[in-house]
Amino acid sequence: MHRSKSAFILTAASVSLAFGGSATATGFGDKASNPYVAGDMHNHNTCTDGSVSAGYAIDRSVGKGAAAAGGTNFDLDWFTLGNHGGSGNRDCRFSDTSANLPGDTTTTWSQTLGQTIQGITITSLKGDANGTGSSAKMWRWQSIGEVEYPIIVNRSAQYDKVLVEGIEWIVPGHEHTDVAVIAGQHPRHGGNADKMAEFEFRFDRADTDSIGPVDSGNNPLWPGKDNVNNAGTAGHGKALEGVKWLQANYPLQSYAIPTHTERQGPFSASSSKGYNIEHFRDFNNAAPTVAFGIESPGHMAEGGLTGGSGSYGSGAVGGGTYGMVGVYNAKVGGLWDGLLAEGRNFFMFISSDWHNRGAFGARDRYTTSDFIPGEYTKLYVPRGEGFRNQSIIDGMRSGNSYSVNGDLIGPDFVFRASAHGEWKTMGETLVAQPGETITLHVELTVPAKNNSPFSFNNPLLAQIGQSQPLDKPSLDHIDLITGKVTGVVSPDSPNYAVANAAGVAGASIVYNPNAAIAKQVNWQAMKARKQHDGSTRLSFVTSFTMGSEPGYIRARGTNIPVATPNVTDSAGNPLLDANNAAVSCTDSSCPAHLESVGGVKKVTHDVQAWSNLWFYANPIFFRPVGSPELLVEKNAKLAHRLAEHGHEHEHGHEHEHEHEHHHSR
Amino acid sequence: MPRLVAIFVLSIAVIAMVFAFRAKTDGGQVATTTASNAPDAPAAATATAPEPSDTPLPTTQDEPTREDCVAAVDEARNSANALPAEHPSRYIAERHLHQSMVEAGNGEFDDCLYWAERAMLEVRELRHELTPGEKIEVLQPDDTPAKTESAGKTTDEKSAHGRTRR
Repeated sequence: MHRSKSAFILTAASVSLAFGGSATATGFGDKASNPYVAGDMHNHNTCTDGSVSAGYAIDRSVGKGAAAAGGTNFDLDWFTLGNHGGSGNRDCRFSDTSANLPGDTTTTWSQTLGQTIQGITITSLKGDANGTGSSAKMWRWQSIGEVEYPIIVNRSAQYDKVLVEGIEWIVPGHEHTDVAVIAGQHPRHGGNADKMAEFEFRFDRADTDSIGPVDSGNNPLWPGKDNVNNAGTAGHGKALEGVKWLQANYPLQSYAIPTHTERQGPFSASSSKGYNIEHFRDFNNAAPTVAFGIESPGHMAEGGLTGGSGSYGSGAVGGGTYGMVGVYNAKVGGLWDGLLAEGRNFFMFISSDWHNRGAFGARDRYTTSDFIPGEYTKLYVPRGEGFRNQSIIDGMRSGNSYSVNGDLIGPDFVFRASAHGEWKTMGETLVAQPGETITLHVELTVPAKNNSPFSFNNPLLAQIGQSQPLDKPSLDHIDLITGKVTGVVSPDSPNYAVANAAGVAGASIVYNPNAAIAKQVNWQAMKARKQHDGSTRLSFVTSFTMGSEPGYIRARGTNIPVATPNVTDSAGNPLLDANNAAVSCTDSSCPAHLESVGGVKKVTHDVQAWSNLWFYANPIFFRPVGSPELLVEKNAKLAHRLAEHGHEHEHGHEHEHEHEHHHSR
Repeated sequence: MPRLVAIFVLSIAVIAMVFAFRAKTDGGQVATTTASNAPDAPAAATATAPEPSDTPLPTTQDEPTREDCVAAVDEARNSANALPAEHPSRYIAERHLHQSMVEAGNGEFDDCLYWAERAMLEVRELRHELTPGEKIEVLQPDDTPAKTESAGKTTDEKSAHGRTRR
């Protein structure tokens, strides 16, 4: 990782900070007028390997105030239920006993068949028999349609929030990918999640059911499933068929975003492991309006003495997380920058991957594993007019989104660039004359408080003499990262596939040697305005000169100063998070659940997560007047054309879909 | 008394018992011990936990099976059971193993192995250690949440001080 003062477009000579003028914003702090809305697209419940019921997960994520049985609700604006594919033996109308919720104990499908619970009656486990007794499992295609979606319908009526039925696809040949297919989902009017279920049945490698739903004559409704090619290179081929299916059928009503992509190490030609850059390229080529990004890992509180945050072991590419982010995204010049160097519409997202709180129950304030959606991580997409489930996908696909841990910044981020009076924001492309002055405008709000249960001073900052309570986020600086766009790499090119490596060796791979931290703006160099709610509005304007080649600029920010021992390097890049555990937590309030060495508590688990905060913004692209359109522009136009041809909205068909449930045996 | 229930409190005697347990461990084979073996010497309260090994967190193997998962869980559970019932590392390991079995129930045997191996690390290295009187407080199903917790103070209890940054 490196920092450069001579990046191609943001040259030292051309940069100037200009305070004032453009910093004014109105309406910020009023949730209803925030330009972005916060959500989470990756989380689990007892339908698969989560700890709480589907309903409870939604309640805590989008409800307001305190939960009835205790614990804080996190008031997200939107929520996509993103449970695994495959099958599960637990009835997800109930939480697991380990969640320690009053009156809720682990309940299996074998105990509840035929009963009406929460208005839902499951009479049989459909498809191929899958286990017996308490191990009898329901295939996920059934629980998606018959359990989770009806709960989403119920909760949509209860909350004024946008709820979506998605999955975490267990991908043939790879590990996991977040997928949602919203076609048919109209939870305010009923609707169904049949298309989501069909995708899961056809393409999830853990769903080996050969039957699926059937009609009244016992004929399969979803014939032709490939139940063979689930691993290695053949599995990748099946995965490609999956994203092509989405592109062909639901090009604007679905997404496929690979998640925690470093965790299982590099791709394996013979089993199901991680992803190399060529696999992301394959996905984006095959499904340009569907496979438009990558998700960094959740599980931020799993970090112990030798790592583990993100649920990443030593075999992960990079050997662990860096500032709670996988190395593909955290490394300047890494895999993400490699894809951006092609001008691809490939954007970054983060969600919670909520399963459980480790040593704690669901109502506890502490966690040694995961955070509840909205508690720690927020994925922001534009609010837009009439915000609905389509708006989530449109916002993500546009690239106009950013991801924040620990409420380091709020829902009113401004990151835009201008030439000759035309402003472009994240995901968009600014076309300018070489030599033209580009103005970059950044504004953000640092909230007065986050959801941390800890008010003692941040131990990672305490070691350098700074006193900052963990529940009061602070921003130290923003990195403006630039890179050249050198063009799409052809599948025929020897550079299309790049050798990957497990462990820390994987962090040395440079995919875009032109990417660099072009400028670092410390908070003290920004204009600051204290707001009535205790938050701080920070802003700055800088300028640079348009070069003769296309490029991009992206932003990330952190509470951690440059060269903080065991946290950041001399350029401000995050170090391997396992290093955080070398720092002691010595405040008398450091909690009992931290891992310790010789009786001294170390910065681990949730204290680590609340101490080491980052946000990531998606890029703005640039190109000279007269140069060829970038792929990101072409694919945005493709999405626009598809919308014009009616792929986006099911105009007036909401009620027609209400009763489309299939007959099945 | 607050209704928060301490699920375990590591007493001085228990700390001593842990070290008795470790003394009985030979060549990686876990020997069993019981509370009755434990000396109640208070001096052990000041003993330090072992340094963590350089053992990295586990990495999953190729295509693990249910049998791999069950074997790993059994091994880790046996090791955990050899710890005193009140030992925090035993509790943490048991939570990890619970998640292992949840993952197995979902057919995610790689994740099952991951959590089983984390449980083994916890037991082997005793990564959690409590000072006398310290508790890991976990709300039990019949508990009503209280406003305050003793393991780490809430913002209401402890005002922010010395805030020198924004």
